[in-house]
Amino acid sequence: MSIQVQAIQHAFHGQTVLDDLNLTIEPNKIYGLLGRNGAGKSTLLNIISSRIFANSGSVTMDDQPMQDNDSTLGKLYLMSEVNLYSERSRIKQLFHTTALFYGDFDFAYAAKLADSFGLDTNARFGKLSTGYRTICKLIIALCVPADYIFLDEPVLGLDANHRELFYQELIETYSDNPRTFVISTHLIEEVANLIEHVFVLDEHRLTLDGDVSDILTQAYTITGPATDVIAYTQGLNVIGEDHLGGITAHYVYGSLNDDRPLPDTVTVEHLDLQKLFVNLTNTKKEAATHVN
Amino acid sequence: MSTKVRTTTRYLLTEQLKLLGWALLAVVMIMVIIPLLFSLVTGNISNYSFTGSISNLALGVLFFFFIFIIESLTYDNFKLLIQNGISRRTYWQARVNTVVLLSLIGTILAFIYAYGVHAPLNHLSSNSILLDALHGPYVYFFGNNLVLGILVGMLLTWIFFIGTGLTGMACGSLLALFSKWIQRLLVIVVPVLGAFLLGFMISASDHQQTNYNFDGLVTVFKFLFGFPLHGNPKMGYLNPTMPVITMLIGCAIMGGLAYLFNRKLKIKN
Repeated sequence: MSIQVQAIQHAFHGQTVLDDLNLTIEPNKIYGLLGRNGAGKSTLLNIISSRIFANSGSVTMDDQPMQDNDSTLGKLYLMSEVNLYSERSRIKQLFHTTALFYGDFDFAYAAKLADSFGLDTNARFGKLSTGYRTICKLIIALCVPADYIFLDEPVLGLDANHRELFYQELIETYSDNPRTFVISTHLIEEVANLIEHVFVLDEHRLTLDGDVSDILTQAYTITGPATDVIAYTQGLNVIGEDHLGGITAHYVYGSLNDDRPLPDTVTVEHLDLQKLFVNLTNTKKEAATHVN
Repeated sequence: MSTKVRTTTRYLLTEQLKLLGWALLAVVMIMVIIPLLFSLVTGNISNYSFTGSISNLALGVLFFFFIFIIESLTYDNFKLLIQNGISRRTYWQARVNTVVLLSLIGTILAFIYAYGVHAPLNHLSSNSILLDALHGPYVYFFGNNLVLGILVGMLLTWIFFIGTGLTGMACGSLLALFSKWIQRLLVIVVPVLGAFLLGFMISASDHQQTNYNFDGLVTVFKFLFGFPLHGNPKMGYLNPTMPVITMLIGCAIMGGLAYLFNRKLKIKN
């Protein structure tokens, strides 16, 4: 069972948001969906969950269309940044409504989470702060019996303690009951150790699609005196650079071509996910500003 | 009926019945309690009649407006249901089911009120109430029997309420496709244009202007509502077949339009 996104194209007010997007979401994996503001992450999640329509292309779950299909939509839950719950509803009512439509909602776990996060389940959704609205939606997302859980900005408005608690609970619930999580976030450092597979959206296209471990083994920082670094990285896929005093760092994505000699003055290290993302998605203009 | 349709119908019906309860309570407050309090405060309690207030609530008219308005509210339920993995098609099917069931409940309530409260408290005969209603022209077509007449009236009222609910659904689903600004514009402009058109038609027919001849239109309406094209109608004994067909076709058109608009609903940011 997997979700296939094929040749998705979407424009809004004449501006392309997603351009010929293809990807597959496998069962029981934690994915990171990364992209800069306006890259189309929320649009993609909304199209997958049939909340909006793509201009062309298809989204299927095991060859069954996802659009307007109860049987596939019932296996998916999207916790979105936009609040779709009634402001008048009490939190416990929202749990019951979710249980009504999805069935088998884990009320005991929801109560435990509400207690851990300090969420009053008698409160009305509309009376909650931004952070507590996020917490309420996160609790539902973690307790709903869906095979695919999409989390769009899951830590919006959460303080550091609540973010930490959420990541712990995510790992625990995933270990107890493996299912697919797709996390769309800007806080890459915080999720870097959680996610197994990453999608990077840039300029409305998918620029990176692979397992985090595989990707990071191909991402390097080459540091040293400018002349030595430039000589060493010549012909390699340099995705960015930094300068500090007399030291230059080149960020390389791809094979290093091991037969070239490594000067003593140059060091090679692996990039972390956030640095790789920043360099992959920096526009040329921003990169130039950064260098100067 | 699939489980999801059944669950969604149950959810929508429960929510709408709660709102109906609140609407009835509001009407009782406005028509009975507030006048009572006002009479008490102003010292006119002797002029206040509880039975007079309670016997003229016009529940049928209230339900007509209620079902139109409640069924036109589209986007909030759509948001909640799509969040819970319910497709647009299921939402539409559940809404239609809800309209049919809620209309039946509304019809039963309106008739119980009319014959159990309104008629006895106003010292009116059941027969006169039956003939004075919108369904009055057709109620004795199947025989001069009051119970049968009430049943015919209930059937016609039920279909009429279903049509009203489906019209509300179609209007609400159409409005839900637009931004709030355009929605407000449409809500203001369309009734004004409608009133203007109606006023124009009334004025044109009143003044016997030669340029505008509405005879054809009148004939069409007579045909659609089962009135004889020539001669005087025998009220109470008209054949209800044509109005039933007309209302059912109207229901199908409104249900179809609601379906088309409903399929295009999407989440707004």
